[in-house]
Amino acid sequence: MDSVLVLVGGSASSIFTAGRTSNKHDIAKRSVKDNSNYIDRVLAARLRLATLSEMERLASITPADFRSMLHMQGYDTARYDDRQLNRYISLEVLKLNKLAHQFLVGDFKNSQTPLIVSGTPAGSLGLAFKVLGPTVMAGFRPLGVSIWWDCSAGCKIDTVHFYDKSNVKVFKP
Amino acid sequence: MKKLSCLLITFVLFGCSTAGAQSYHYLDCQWFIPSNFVEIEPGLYREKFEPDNPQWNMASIFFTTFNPATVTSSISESQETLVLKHPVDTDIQYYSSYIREGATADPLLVQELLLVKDDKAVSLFGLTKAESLALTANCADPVTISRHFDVFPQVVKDAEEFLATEHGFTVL
Repeated sequence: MDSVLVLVGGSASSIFTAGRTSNKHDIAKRSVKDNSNYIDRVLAARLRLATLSEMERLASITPADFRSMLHMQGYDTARYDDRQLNRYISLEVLKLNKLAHQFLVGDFKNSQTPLIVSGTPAGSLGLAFKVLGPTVMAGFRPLGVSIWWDCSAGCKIDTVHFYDKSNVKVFKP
Repeated sequence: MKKLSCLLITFVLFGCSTAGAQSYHYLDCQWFIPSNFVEIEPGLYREKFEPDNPQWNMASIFFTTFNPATVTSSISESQETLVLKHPVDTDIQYYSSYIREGATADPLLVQELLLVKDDKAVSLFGLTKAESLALTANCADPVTISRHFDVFPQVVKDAEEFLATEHGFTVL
């Protein structure tokens, strides 16, 4: 059974003060350099943030805009009514949510350094999935996301492409 | 004057308490949209985006038209859909869809309740029982709505076993 050391932060808002909070700073720095297993922790956080960003975009798309998007990928969706398209959007966003969760769990299980939960002990339960170091780093280096759909029988996500100027990663949810 | 002031204050407080409450008029009825849903376009509401909330289900309420040919449409090879028509004799027909997506040990399990009258439909996709009952309080039969949710865990557990019972539904 995996075990992860979790440090619960105190009431101090800055992690750059001396004493106990400087220990958190050291751990955050170490966690950023932790290159465990298949993907390093910063990349896992970048993938998760990019997935969440695309999920949020799809969660507010109208059926008409979804049709336009699929048309640009070469699909004629005239045979599907708006209710079906709405269903496809909902199901595929839920699948992306599973993918985002896999990025988080993979990072959580594979890390060799402790995770930091910032906030008061009472609030730590709600912040249990916030990873201080890699997530902060990931925010400064967002990945692009491109989703390719397959509408040959219903509409589902075929592949998700994450990219920046030097890397492309492809996932099938 | 005092009575008038009290009345005015009461009206203001009442207005404040209902401010932000959404409703939609469809099928000659007023539907009460749960407060955690946002309007995407007129007639389409989706649950507020909260992916870190384990209860978040990308639920949606859609007031739309009805195409009988699409009731039993499946989406992909990795999806299993069971569609049941409720045995009620009312002007509104009720269709329950139970969807299992993915053949892994942790599949996606979602449900949709479709209320149909003539060529119009109200789709309740991924809503909870409480949300569905609140939405349809004025407009649909709560017993039928509840039955849709009571059947869901039975179908998830063992669909074949459920279908072998005398459930009374028409299996489409």
